[in-house]
Order: sequence, then C-alpha cells, then structure tokens
Amino acid sequence: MVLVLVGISHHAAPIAVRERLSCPDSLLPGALTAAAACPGVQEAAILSTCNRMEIYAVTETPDAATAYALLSAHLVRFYQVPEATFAPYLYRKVDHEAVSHLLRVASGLDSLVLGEAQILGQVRTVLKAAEEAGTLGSTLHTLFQQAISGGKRVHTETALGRGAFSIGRAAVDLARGIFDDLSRATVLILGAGKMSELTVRYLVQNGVHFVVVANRTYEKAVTLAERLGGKAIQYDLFAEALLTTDIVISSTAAPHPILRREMLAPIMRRRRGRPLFLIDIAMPRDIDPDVADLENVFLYNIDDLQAVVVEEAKERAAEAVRAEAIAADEAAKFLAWYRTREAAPVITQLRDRLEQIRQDDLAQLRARLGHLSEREWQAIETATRAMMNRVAREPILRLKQASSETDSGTARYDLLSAAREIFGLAAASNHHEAGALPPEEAAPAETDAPDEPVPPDTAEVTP
Amino acid sequence: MTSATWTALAFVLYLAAAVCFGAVLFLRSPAAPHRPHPPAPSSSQGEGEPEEGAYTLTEGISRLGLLLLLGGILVHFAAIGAWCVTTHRSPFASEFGTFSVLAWAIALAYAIFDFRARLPAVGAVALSVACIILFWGVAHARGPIEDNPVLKSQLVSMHVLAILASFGLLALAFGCAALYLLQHRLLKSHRVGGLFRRLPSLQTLDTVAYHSVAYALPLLTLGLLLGLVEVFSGRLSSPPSAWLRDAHTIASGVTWLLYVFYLAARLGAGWRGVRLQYILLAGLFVALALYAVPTSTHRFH
Repeated sequence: MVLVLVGISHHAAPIAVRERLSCPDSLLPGALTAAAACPGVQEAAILSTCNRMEIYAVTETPDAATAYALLSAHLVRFYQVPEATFAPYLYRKVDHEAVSHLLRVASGLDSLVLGEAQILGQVRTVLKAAEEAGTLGSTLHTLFQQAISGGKRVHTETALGRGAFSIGRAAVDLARGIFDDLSRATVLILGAGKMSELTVRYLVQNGVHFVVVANRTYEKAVTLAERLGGKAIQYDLFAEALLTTDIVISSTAAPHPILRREMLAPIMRRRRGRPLFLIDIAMPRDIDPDVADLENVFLYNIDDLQAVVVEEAKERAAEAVRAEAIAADEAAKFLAWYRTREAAPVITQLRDRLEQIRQDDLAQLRARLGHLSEREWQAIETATRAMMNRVAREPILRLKQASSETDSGTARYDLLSAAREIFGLAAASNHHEAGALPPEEAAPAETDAPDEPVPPDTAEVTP
Repeated sequence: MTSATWTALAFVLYLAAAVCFGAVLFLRSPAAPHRPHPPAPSSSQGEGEPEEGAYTLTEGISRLGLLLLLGGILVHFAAIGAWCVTTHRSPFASEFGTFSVLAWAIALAYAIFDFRARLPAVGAVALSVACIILFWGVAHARGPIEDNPVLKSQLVSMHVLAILASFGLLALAFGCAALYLLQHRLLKSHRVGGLFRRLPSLQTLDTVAYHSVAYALPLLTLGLLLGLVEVFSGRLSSPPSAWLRDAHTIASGVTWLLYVFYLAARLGAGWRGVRLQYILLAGLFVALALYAVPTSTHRFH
C-alpha cells in the first residue's frame, strides 16, 4: 500500500496550466469516481482550488513510481490534456512527504496568501465530497481529519492567520491605490460564489457601499445582494453595469472568458477614461488577459495578487515557523498511526492465536480436573492469562516499535513476515479492513493495548 | 540679517521639509491608507493599519515637515521683502527675484493643499522642485538688477506675480501628474510593492492636480490680461503688435489654451485618466519653455 500525492500549484504552474486541470465543484464527484476507478487505486481525494489541484491516493501498486504514472495517466485521460502540458509543473510525493504537504496546505503555509484560513474550509469540503463519492478509506479519511485538526491548531495557537493578507484585503489595498474614497466606489460582482462574496465582504468592511451582483441564476444574485446590502441585476445586463462600476470582482464558473477586449473597449470609451479595476479570481479565468492593455483598465488575476502578498508574508515569517512546527507535529501523529496500522492486524492475529491456544488447553484441563472448585479455576484463568501476556508482550512491543520507527518499510515488513511465519498466522488482509492502533500505542508501551481502530486526535474535528 | 541670509535659511527649511515628507513616505507602513487628517488619539486601530508607535512617529515627522515648510514660507517672504527694501526694486527686476518668488509660490501652493489632503509624496516632489528653482535663482543672484521704469509699475508687478503664482500651482499639478503616471505604471505592470502603497491613489492625484489647475488658470488669465492692459496702455516702448508677436506672449497663450483644454476635457467631456496627465505635463513644459525662447520685448535692459 502506497500513499501518494500528485499535483500542481501556484508555486510553479502558471495560471494557464492550472486552469486546464481545475476541477469545479460540479465536476468533483465525477473526477473522484474516475480517480478511484483507476486500476490499483483504493482511495482517492481531490483538492482543487484556484491555486492548486492535488490528487491524494492510496494505491496497491508495488511502488510509488507506478502510482505516479497511474495518476498522471488519469489526469491526461480525465482532463483531455497532453501530459507535456502539466508534467514540468507536476510534483509527486509519497507517504510522509505527502502527509506533511497536506498538513502544510491545510495550515495555510503553502497558500498564495500565507496563513489564510479559507483553505481549511476547502480541505473540509474535499473530505465531505470524497466521503459522499465513496472514494475514501480509513487512511485518507484519517489523514484529512488530521489535516483539519492541524489547520485548526495553527489558526488558534499562532497569529499566522490574524490580519492575513486575504484576496479581499489585497483587493482593498490595490483599490486604495486607485480610488481615494472607497465609500463612493461601486463594486460589481460577477458570479455569486463563495470567493467573490468573501472578497467583496472585505471591501464592504473597508467602506464600499454600492454593490451590484450579477449571476446566471438570478435568484442566487438576489440572495447574495440581500446579504451584502446591494442590488441584483440580470446577468445579461452586466455589460451595461460596467459603465458605472469602479471595481469588478469576477468569479463565475464559466469555462471561457466572459469579458473580452472587444466588449470592454467601447465601454471604456464611454467611461471617458475613468479607471476600472478588474479582479479575476475565477478558475478558469473570466476576463481575457488582453483586456489589461486597455487604457485605464487594471486587471489582476489570482497570480498577479501574489506580488501584493509578498511583503506581508515576510512580516509573518516568525509565526510561520511556529505554524510549521505544529503542522510537523500533526503530520507525525498521523504517520505514527499510519505506520502502526501495518502491524495492527499481525498483533491482533497473534493475540487471537495465543488466546485460542490458552482456551483449548483450559478446555482439556477442565475435562481432566473436574473436581476443582470455581475459585481454583479462576486462579488458573488468571495465571494462564498473565503467562500469555508475558509471552506476547515482547513480540508485540517489537512489532509496534519496528512499524513506528521505520520509514523505508523494509525492516517493518521483514519483522511482520517473520512474526506471521513463526506463529503460523495468516497473511495480512486488505488494509481497508485492517485495524489500527491508537496513537498512544504507536510507541512501545507497558500495557496491553486494545486493537480497535482509533484515528489519532480527531475527537474535536468536525468535517 | 540680509536678504541672502534669509534666502539661505528658507532654502534649508524647504529642504528639511522635503526630507521630512520623504521620510514620512518611507517610514509609513505600506499598508497604511492615505488619510487627509491624522486620527484622533482614541480612535481604534483597524486591521492592517500600522502600529500605534509607528504611526505616531510618521505623524510627528509629517507635522515637523509642515512646520518647517510654514517657517520656510515666512522666512522666504521676509527674504523677498528684505531684497525689495534693500534694492528699492520689485523682485521681478532680477532673475534671482523672479525665481525666488516662483519657488515661494510653489511652496505656498503645496502648503495650502497640505491642509486639505496630506500628501507627503507630492510635498516631497513640490519642495524639491522649489529648492532647485531657488538654488537656480541664488546662482543668478549676482546678475543685473534692471532699472527700467516699467518694472516699477504695480500693474506689471501684479502681472508677473499672478503668472508666477499660477506657475506655482501648475508645478504642483505637474508633480501630481508625474506621480499619477508613475502610480499608473506600477499598477499596470503589477509592481504593487512598497512604493505603490506609499503613493497617493490615482484619484487623489487626479483631484489635487485638477484643483491646482482650477486655481491656477484664473491667476494665469489675470496675469495675461494685466499684461495685455499694460501692452495697450502705451507706456511701453515697443508697439502692441510687437508684444503680441513675441515668443513669450505666444508661449503664454499656448500654455493658457492647454490648461483651458484640460479643464474643458475634464469638466465638459468628463475625461479622466492618463491623457489628462499628459496634458498637465505638456502644459508645464510649454510654460517653462517661456524662459528658453528668445524674446524681443520682455527685455528691460
């Protein structure tokens, strides 16, 4: 079993590549099902935001390289994109690297906007979507819950996310460079999505009074406009609204640009040079990049906003160090659980085997020593159980120790195989059904552990 | 103290004020929004605003800059007055005096605008220009002092004063236009780092430039009209036709037309944006060309 991750993100992949592999919410169930249907894939989850597209998978492939090839081929098939388009930007991670990466992502440490909390909600959405699509097993389920738990810790225990430079704040900052008084600026929202709402809320908090919402589904526009204290217009009328608008926030799910140069040029002439600030946070982009060449038009897409956040990110570097430590701690907790679950089925079988031997011998003994009192039988029960525990303790501790301390897997599997052979145990069953040890049992302990599958530190997590 | 000492002191004060405004620009947190007035001490601090201490420091330096500027304007006025008393001439009887009044007009124009909208970036540029002009004037301080009776006319003095005052305001508009184009370029090229966030907004720069021209144009019109009255008064040695054909007169007329076009485009046609800023740049270039173009009539030797 291999836990792998393949993905692209804003760090390397340009927006033109990211939008080819973007997976809007409407396509997510299909994408999850298709990924999980790949031969050898046991579990799959897809994290697709405007900054990244990542597939997390648990596979039965013999090694990580095979799993990578499998998932790359899936990307080519599903998105109908040549591999050469995304291959140079694709990162591949396995086991602890993949785990650490997701923990960093959920903590906002890998975000375009350092420390932003929105990604945590997106990770929650991934967990829910994959659960609904039935593509999650215990490994990815626990991993994503651990990631959510880690992200929450980072946001509550550090100041990384406090005053974080969100897209909304970046928009306000840029708008202040254009307009002297935001309270007199009119904002047009194209697409009544979550991102545009968050962005415009920040603008409203900073003085914007006039908000106009246009959405293909008029009812959604009305709902959002009511929440923001603005007004809704029919989607077809948005071009006309551009005449009186100062700021446009576009985040529709349209597959092609909805605002092109030839459409905006006559509008700008009618605006007589009044500046127009366009924020395109849609993926794929809503606004044709050529629009930026028009005079007095300032177009910013997700990538352009990166420049706005660089300095802010530097200022929060100290908090980022603390957040990194928390993310690493949470990743270690998951990995401890993840590794011990390799040993869990063997330990369970070993216990069952010893218990079976004990029960068989006790039954034979009862047949021969029927005159003993119940009190004497209780003493024999206690003595044999204690003896069995003393015999089993050392092998169990060694198995737990080996599984939790070894990264490469070689020594772990050798010891597990040896245990099966020595005690005459059956081969390990599918990991989906395999039990796992609780995190406190991952390390050698003096007491005997119950073998129920208990995910690490997820009690407070609300997916 | 002599006029030269007062002038030197004014120069130092302007320079110090320019440094203060420049320091405010670079000490202020890039995230801090531009505000027309400092906040009340009890006002709560919003997210993204600079720390209280940092704001107090920059606000203190900003106020110091304004005090230095006001001091410079007063001292400079005293210097010009002392020169007039000493020489018994109008300041416009020498190149030094003319440049000195122009520098004073620029400093005064910015000081007036600073009370309305605190724009350290504009202040730093405007006062730097004032310092350069004053330095240029001081470099020509040993030039001849004309004794032409025309220069003793109050009408001529008012004519020159009105034109120089308008030039002071137009220089301010020029500075705003230059900063507008810089800010515009930063926004267009997505280089929105510290410098971008320290400069005033495009709209603020556009508005200040517009107000500068709106005040400058009546002064320029008044100055030109007073000049025409003097030309047709018969007190001048050259005939009116010679004055009307003079390069300075034509350049003044072109400058006036450019700024009229600017206001007509902005107010009448509703123009905004980059094109208007180019008109402002062109306007001051033409105005400054007045001094470079050879003149046959504006000579008072």
